[in-house]
Formats: sequence, C-alpha cells, structure tokens
Amino acid sequence: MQMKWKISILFLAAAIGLSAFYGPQAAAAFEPDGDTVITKVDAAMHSDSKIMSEEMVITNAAGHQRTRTIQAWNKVSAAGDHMLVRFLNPADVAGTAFLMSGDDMWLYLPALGKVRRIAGHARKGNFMGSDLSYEDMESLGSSGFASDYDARLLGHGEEADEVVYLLELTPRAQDASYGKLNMWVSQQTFLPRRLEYYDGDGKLLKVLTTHNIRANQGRWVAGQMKMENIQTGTKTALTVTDVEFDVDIDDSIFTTRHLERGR
Amino acid sequence: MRLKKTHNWILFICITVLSISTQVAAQSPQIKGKLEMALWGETDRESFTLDGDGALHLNISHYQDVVGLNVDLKADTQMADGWGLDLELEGAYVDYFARDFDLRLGKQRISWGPAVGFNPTDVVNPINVTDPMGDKLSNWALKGQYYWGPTLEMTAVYVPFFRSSIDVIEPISPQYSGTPIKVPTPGQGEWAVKLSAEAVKGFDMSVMYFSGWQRTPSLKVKDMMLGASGTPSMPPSNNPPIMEGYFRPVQIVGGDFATAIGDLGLWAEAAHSMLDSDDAFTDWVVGGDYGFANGLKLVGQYFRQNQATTKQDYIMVALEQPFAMIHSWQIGVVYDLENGDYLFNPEIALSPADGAELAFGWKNVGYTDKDVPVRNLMAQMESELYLRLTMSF
Repeated sequence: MQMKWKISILFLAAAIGLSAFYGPQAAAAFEPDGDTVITKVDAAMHSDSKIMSEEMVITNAAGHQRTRTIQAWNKVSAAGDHMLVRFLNPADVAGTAFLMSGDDMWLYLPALGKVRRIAGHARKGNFMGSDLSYEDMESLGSSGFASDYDARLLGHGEEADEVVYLLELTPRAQDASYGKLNMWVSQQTFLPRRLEYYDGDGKLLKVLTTHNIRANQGRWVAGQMKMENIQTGTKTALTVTDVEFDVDIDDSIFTTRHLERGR
Repeated sequence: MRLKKTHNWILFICITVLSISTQVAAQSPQIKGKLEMALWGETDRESFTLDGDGALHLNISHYQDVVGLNVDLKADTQMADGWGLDLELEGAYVDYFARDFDLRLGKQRISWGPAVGFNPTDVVNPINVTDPMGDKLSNWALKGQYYWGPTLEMTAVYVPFFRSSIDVIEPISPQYSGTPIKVPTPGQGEWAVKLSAEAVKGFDMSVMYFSGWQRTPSLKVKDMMLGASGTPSMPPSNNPPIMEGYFRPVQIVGGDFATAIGDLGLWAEAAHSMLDSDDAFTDWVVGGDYGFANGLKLVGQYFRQNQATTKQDYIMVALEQPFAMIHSWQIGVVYDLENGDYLFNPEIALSPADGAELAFGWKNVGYTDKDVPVRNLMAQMESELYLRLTMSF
C-alpha cells in the first residue's frame, strides 16, 4: 500500500514537472497567431456575393441627425471585387449611386445625368457624408483586412459580454489611411466587436462597434455598426434592414450602364 | 413647349393633383419632385433691387421590366414677371432596355463629356444662354446605345426638330430688328454618334461626331451682288444690303478621356467645329481634381471657348468642403485670361432637414466692358447676393 502511494506520488510529480516544462509551449501551440485570427475574421465576414439594404443615421457634433437608406450589391469574382451602392432616400440624394470595380470607381449623380470617374482620393474620403470612408466600407464589406494589414495578437479580453482576441493591425502600404488599427474579435463568431482606427500620428481617430449579432443563412451577421469619430464628435449608425448572401448577381449589375440606368 | 398665361396656374394644379392621385390609386408610377424658392438682389446697380422666383420640378416615372415612361415638368414663377406662371415640359420620353442595347425616344437631355461645367463635346442639346453653365435645353430625339460587353459602347442620336439656344431669335441686334431668320426644317435633322470605351487600363475615353446646326443665328447678306470680276461687292451705301439671319451648318468631331493617377483625377475634352465658308475652330478643356484628408476638394480647369468671332481662354477653380458633417461651403472662380473678366462665387449650403437645403452666396461678376454685349461667359451674368431654399420630395 505504501509502495503504491510512493509510485502515485512519483507519477504525479513527474506529471507536474513535465507540464511545468512543456505547458507554456503546449498552450502556445493552440493559441492562434494574429494572422490566423484576421484570416478567420475575413472568412467570417466574406461572402462571394451579397445584397444588403441598410439605414444610415449620421449625427453631427451638435446632435443634428440625417437619415439615408441605401442598397448595396457586392460580388467577388476572378476579375476582382465589385461593389455598387445606390441611395434610395432622402429625396435630395435618391438615385445617387457609386460603383467600385477593382481599382476603378465611378459616381452617378442624377442632377448631372451622367457617370463620372472618380479618383483614388475618394476611396479615403467620407462615404456620402458619413464617418465611414469608402475604404472602410470595402474592408468591412468584402475585401477584408488580411490583404492590407499585418496582424499581431496582443492578448485576450472581454468586449460586449464576449471573450475576444485583441489584435493590432499595421498597414503594409506607406500611404495608408490609418496609422494602425486595434481590433477586438469575438472568439465565438470571429466578427470584430470593436475596432479602433488611429491616425498617422498615433492618435485615436474613430471607433467602430458592432451590435445585434445574429445568425443568418448559416453565418454570423452584425445587425448594426456604429462608427464614432473621436476627434470631431460625429457618429454614424448603420443598421442592416435586409441581407441576402451568396446571391447570383449578374456581372452586368457592376457596369456604368447599370449605374446610369438605375434599375 | 413654353406657355405663359394666368390659367397655367389652374392647369398646373390639375396636373399636380392628377399626378398625386394617380400614384395613390395605382401605387406604381413614381413621383419625385423638387421645390425651389430663391431671393436675390443685384449688387452692381445704383440701387439694390430685390427679385425672387419659385420653381417646382415634378418627375413622374413608371417602369415595368424593360419598358419605362418618364415625364419631367417644370413650373416657375418670378417676381419681376408679376408672378405669372411658366410651364415647361423639360422631358418626356420612353425607355426600352434590351440585353445589348437601350433606346430612348422623346424630349430629353443627353450629357456628354467628363469635364465640369464646360463640355465641348456636349453638343446635342442647346446651351441655355441665360444660364450658360447650367442645365442645357432639352430637345426631341431618338437615342440608341449598343454595348459590346462591359467596356465598349456606341451611342447614336437623331434630332428631328431643331431647337435654338434662345426661344425668341430676334432681334439679332437692334439695327437688324425684324430681319427674317431661316430656321432648319424638320427634314433637316441633326445626328450624332459616339464610341466610348471604359476602364481600359484605368482610362475612360470616347470619340464623337455631330452633324447639325449652330444654335445661335448668324447674319449674311441676302442675294449678294456680284462685281464685274464675279467677286461679291457691297452695294452703294445709300442702298443698304438686304440681310438674312440663318443657322450655320456645322460638323463637329471630338474626343475625351478621364483617368485617375493615384489620388489625382484628370480629364480632357476637345471638339473641332467645321462650319460653312471654311470656318473652323476648336474648343477644349483640361482639368483635374484632388481631395485632401480634411475633406477639402479642389477642382481646376483650363478651357478655351470660341464665341462668335472671338476665342476666350479661361481658368476655373472650385473649392468645396463639408463642415459640421451635414453642411458645406464652396468657392467657384472663373477668370477670362484675355480680358480679366471674372466670376467669383462663394456659397454656404446648410442642411436644415433631410431633403432640404438652404444656400446663400454671392455672385460677384467683373465684366470690364459693358459696351461689348456677348464677349464671354460672364456677359449674361449680374452681380448678386442670393438665398435659395430647395426641398426635395
């Protein structure tokens, strides 16, 4: 009996010793690195195609609000990423539409009655007066982050009652719009729950939070995104009113002909 | 179609009520509109004179599958005219969309060219001489567009009925008041073709051809007397020549391109006009735009416009920036390099509510020689302070 106890204690000591020696490395083997997490984030948000209706409420620093409704078509194909956004309301911007196809961008303004090519600076500019840029819409919509940013896992935490990974994203391009991004990623859904955008001087510029996470067509979807510009005090809330994933969208939708025709 | 009678008010109210009731009843035609009210005071006269106007634009459209109908009505009234009501049919056309081509038949505007405000290749619709940089006048036309894939497009336009830039085409000048003017007949229609390519290595480009008439009349001596050698000779001064007004036939060839180099947008547009009597001239424009990180947008253009017997070179600069997220300010400058004439137009546009805009600004026109009536773009403009409310629905 005493011998059995001695053997058990020896095994226990050996087990503790082994775990002390190998434990951290074993745990690290199961800890994803930043690039793995951001790849999963992109996969969680990605769909080959989608049609989305959204309500956008913009609020300026004085608290005045304006509401716009938009419809957006996204498609990823061998020819590149395509996005068409059309404004439905209010009446003064209704009919305005913009098309992004690869690196080319065009804008249709009904008052002019013609399509105009727009330059690269527009991609960094505000998306129809909101706190989101066209580039933000693109990365949150279909193109994702992994292609433009290097990701580093900073640790774990809790955000919006979820266990999250905290990532730091550093842009690869010298002339990137942001100095860096910090992203809190849900460990359950791999959707970003909080995203901090820092300017080139390292100052916090904008904060994006996601809300109303729900399952839709076998994937997780954020029903609402709120972007706050910390430096100007302005806010934009983008609420998804309808969404369809993996829809068969004809390529002709992503042409200036369709942009101008409007239907 | 431009009517100007008191009973236009009754007709206008009937059309509006009918339009709205049609929409309520059928829920299918779509009605959109815009109400504009403006007040302005001219600032370069001895006394400050106040004027105002109001305009209602109604757009009624009904599209089903590949066929659609679109009607644009404009009703406007002006203080200086005693608040009489003008009704104008600005557009009325039928659309047909096929797999590879589109057709549009009816009264319409056809906008060509990538430049801002001044488009030499935009020749199908006549310029509105009272607002030379504003909307062009619509005309009756058949337009067809054929598409070869997503990048190549051919447009053909036929305009059966000639429309001048000015509704009342006489007098040409006071001394020739009453001079008869020959207007092209419906059989002498105008036509145009345009071939466009998009997104070809980052470039959009097109070439065009137009055959038609100049939109403002010219004078010529009717039944020119011939001298002994067979060359034209002027009659004796006590027997002045008989003059005749006419619209000169013109053929125009042109082209344009637009591209983006990094953050800089660039475009150019040119049109070469060939008139009778071997007259020819070329209008062109080059321009670009750039957006700054703070939202400021800068547009610059250099353009040449031939006007009557003169040619003018202009620089145009526009700055625009939003503020407080929902409002904006802008400054526009047009400068005539030859005469030093200019237009300086700062404006602030406020957004009091969704679909509404309240703009106020100052048009400061420097026109150095009032004795020359139509020297350049600024000739028809007056310096004024203005306030404009626009409500869209």
